[in-house]
Amino acid sequence: MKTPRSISTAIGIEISEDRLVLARMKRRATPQTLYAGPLHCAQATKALDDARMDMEKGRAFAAVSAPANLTLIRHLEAPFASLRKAEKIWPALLDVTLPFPVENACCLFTQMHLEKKHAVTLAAAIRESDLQATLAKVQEAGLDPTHCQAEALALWAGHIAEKPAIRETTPTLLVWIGEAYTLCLRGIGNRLTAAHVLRHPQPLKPDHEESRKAFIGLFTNRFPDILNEHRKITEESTFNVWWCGPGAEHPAGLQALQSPAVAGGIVLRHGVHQAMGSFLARALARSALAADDTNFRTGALLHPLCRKLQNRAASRICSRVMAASVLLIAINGFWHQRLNAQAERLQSDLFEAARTIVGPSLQRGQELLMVERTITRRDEETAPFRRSMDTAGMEGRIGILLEALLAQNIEVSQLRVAPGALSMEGHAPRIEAVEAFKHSLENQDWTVQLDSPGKSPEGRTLFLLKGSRI
Amino acid sequence: MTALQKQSIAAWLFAGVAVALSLHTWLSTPEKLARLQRRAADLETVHHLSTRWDAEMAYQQSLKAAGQIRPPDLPEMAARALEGKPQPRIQFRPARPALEGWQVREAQVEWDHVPYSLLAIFLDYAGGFRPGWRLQEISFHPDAEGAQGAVSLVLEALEMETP
Repeated sequence: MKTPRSISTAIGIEISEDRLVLARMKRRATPQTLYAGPLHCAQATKALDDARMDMEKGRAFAAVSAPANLTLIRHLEAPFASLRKAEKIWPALLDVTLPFPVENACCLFTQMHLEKKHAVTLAAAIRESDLQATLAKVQEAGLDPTHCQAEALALWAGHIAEKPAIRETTPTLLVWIGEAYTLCLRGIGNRLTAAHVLRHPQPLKPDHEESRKAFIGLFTNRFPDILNEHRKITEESTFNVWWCGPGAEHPAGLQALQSPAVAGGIVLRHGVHQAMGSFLARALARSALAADDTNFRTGALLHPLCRKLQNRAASRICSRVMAASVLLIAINGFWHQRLNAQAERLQSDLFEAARTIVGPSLQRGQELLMVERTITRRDEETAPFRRSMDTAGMEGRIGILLEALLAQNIEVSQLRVAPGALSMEGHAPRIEAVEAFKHSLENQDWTVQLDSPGKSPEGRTLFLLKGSRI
Repeated sequence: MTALQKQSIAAWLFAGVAVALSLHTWLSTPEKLARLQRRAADLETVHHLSTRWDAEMAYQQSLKAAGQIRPPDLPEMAARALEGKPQPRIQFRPARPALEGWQVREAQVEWDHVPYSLLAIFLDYAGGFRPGWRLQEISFHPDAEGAQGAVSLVLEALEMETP
């Protein structure tokens, strides 16, 4: 779980046998070196006390590094393209590359991405006992750090924050020269690919000529191999080399390290980081603030402050989830209530309207059924009134019928007209005349059946006509 | 169980309820809205139906108000309308109940042989009253001359029931 970002200050601490560097970083600000000097002096103690106070009051994180000479960096590749699935097998893949069981180690997996349809990651691992020893050493100095970062990862993150690569394919090396060892980090663009640790034959002191010479000897011997190793994974012929660390602060020593003889035929472009001596401390502070998954203090080793922050963040998430849920429940409730109220209002209006038709015997929920029944009954009851009011009436319709018969020269021998029924027998000069009469009836919504049994002795067409109308 | 765990369980319970309720709302709302629309349409129909018999009610009120609560006596009216002409056979049918104290009276009127012009005069006369005798059914068989024949009519009239 990532460290919550509720604290906006971090103090990076680089601590060795006799040297202390403290750097403070605030979010969206450049890091400041608070102290760089001897470990055993009043000023160093005060700087550490201030850092501890800030941390104890929950104002700042304190970050130290897990020494690179105790940490292993491995490039892992899963045989498939799913990062989610790969996350489950990284420990198993790492296990086979470690000289100690992965169960006894603290591990980090960073820079997870897909490469040629394979999931890849950069893993960092340290023995749990080594990590605890490192923490104990810092605690002895009077501080319990919230973060213990993988040194190589923190340095690389600090490097790309301060000197990001312009091109994604540029081969880059970052050389951090410490007192006990030198760390050579290899990367392509902004991506770290490997780390090499060169253990110094004797502690490197800036003012100690013999130790410097011994280091230069070691470096000129090993560095060409590291360059050649890097040349295998890039087609570029020019490498950028960035220098930092307290050991790089000696100009003559740095000049010797940058000599073309060391390059082994590869074109090197050299650059140095500003304030090289506090680079690690700055990088640690920056990494702690970035919450970039480079902290070994997780799980059982999680610092109480980080645990408190995690709990607070989890509690805040719970509160927000609860508040959002309550809001959602309220909105849903309001919506249902509104629909129900509308339905109830319509039902009441319907009941009132139906009662004016049906009368007091109306039962709730049966409005339409009872209205339909009432209509049927009432239509029958009121039909005589409608007939009585009808000015034309049946008499008028018979008159129209007879006029139509006369117009077609049709003679009727029998006629019967009742509401909705009509039957007629007769004869006409020709069948077309009867059909014309039939059409005129159909135009008045009659359904008509016409039958012609033949001709009369006078040669006129006999017909039988039956009609019905709803 | 820590306070955070309790809070987490409560939050997820609330979230579960909220999601379930939202799902229920999402699934049930279209049907509820459709039901509301149907009910509104029903209300519109019932409102429309409530004025369906306004004309008939007004008519019966006007008859009542004018004291025109029974039709003319049919045999007497036929005698007056067809004075000196062939008189019909009149047979009354049982009265049927109608609206609010009114009843429908029906009578079958038959001639074995009547000129149609006389029939027109009779029907015109019978329908000229308030309430009048109105033609319901007609059946006729013309004889050889064509302009006259046997006729059977069913006439109908409104009458206020007497207590």
